[in-house]
Amino acid sequence: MRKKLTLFLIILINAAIFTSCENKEPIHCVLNQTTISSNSPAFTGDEIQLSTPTYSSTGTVIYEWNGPNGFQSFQQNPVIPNATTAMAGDYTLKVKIGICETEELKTTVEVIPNTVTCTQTNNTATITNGSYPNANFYSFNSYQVVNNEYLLSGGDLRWSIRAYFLADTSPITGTYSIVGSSTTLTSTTVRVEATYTTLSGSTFEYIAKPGDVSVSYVNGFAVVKFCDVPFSSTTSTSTQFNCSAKYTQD
Amino acid sequence: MKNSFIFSFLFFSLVSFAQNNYLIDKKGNKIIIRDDVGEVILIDKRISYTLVGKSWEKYIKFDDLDYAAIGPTILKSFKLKGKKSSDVYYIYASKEDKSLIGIAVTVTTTYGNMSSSKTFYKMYVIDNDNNILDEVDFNSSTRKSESEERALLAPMIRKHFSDCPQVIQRLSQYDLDTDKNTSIMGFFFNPAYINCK
Repeated sequence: MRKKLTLFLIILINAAIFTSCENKEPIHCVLNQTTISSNSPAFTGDEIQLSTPTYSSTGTVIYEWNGPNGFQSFQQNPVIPNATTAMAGDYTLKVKIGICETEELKTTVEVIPNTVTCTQTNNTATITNGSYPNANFYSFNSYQVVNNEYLLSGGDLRWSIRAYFLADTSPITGTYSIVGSSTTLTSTTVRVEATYTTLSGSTFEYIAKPGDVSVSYVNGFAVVKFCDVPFSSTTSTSTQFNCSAKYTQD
Repeated sequence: MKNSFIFSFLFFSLVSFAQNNYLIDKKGNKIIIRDDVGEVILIDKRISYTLVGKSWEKYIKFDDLDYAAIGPTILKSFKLKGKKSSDVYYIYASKEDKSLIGIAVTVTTTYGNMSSSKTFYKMYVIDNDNNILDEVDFNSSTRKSESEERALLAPMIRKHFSDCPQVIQRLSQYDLDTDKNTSIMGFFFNPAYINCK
């Protein structure tokens, strides 16, 4: 009796195993093409943004994302906060509509260490070690200027902060070293200038001393940031004030 | 000649019913499809669609379909010479003596809780008697053999449709110098019908 019971259990277990691994009939579907993209490269601490166009405006669609570090999401456009280097790698998407599913699409996300790490409210500048007011930027410019230089600037009534990059389009994500006005720009350097306008209309020009500027992208817009960078007058080398700033291309 | 007439009829029907999606079955019945509910999806030799005034999906087998006009596209059932059964293809373009037809089918295989999908692409140039004049088929793999097969598609289209500027213009959007010739697959996903006559 015990033998029969054991045999029955073995058959039952085997049946369960084989049923769970059963290869179903392939499903053939004609589907629309889709694409995926990300804001790669992203800085550590920033968001990783993954996106895909809306596959169907009316049908029931499941977006299944998978990625490094155990990442899985069913949102159409997932956002992963506080990026770390462990989150770098290949992210994949399958779109499921009814019993059909698309091929797995892949995008590679690079996460690069961020050395510009101060906490600065977006579109502001904080001035220290000088008798100047802080800035709340409301005016932004981004365009190619002469000599293959690309400008990203933020300004308010008193301040204009201008970062010049060697590029004919918006600079790529990365950390750029600040150089003086007499140094030729390269693909890894930036020149930062500041203009202060008094209530009476007088203007004073300043230039940033050595430091780092980060450029990243949020929703496709460039974000410029630097921390506690000393500025001197254009006519002397002594530091006039220190400035931390963060602003987003309009 | 007979097919030439059918294509002319298809084109003028498409223009006449530009606001409607509809199917014509093999018996000549016309079925109007709601164009505000989801997509028309082809699954396993059937087309799923939603009737006007209804909220549930219906299906029509490829064997029972003559053609479907869906937006600017025409899906038609063809029994190609040398093929065992009818299959549905988009008509990408047609001229007096030949047509460019094709389809990209995604096949999903499920094994336990896992599934994987691969898309297979077929494009034919056929005459009015459904004889295959030229054909290319490949999948989305990055293997050399598939990449080489993909490279044959643009020359095939140019060979037969060089006198149809709209086709050549559309082809130029996808015949790009991309690694593994992957960009050409995009041509399949722009199936709006071009009448070269």
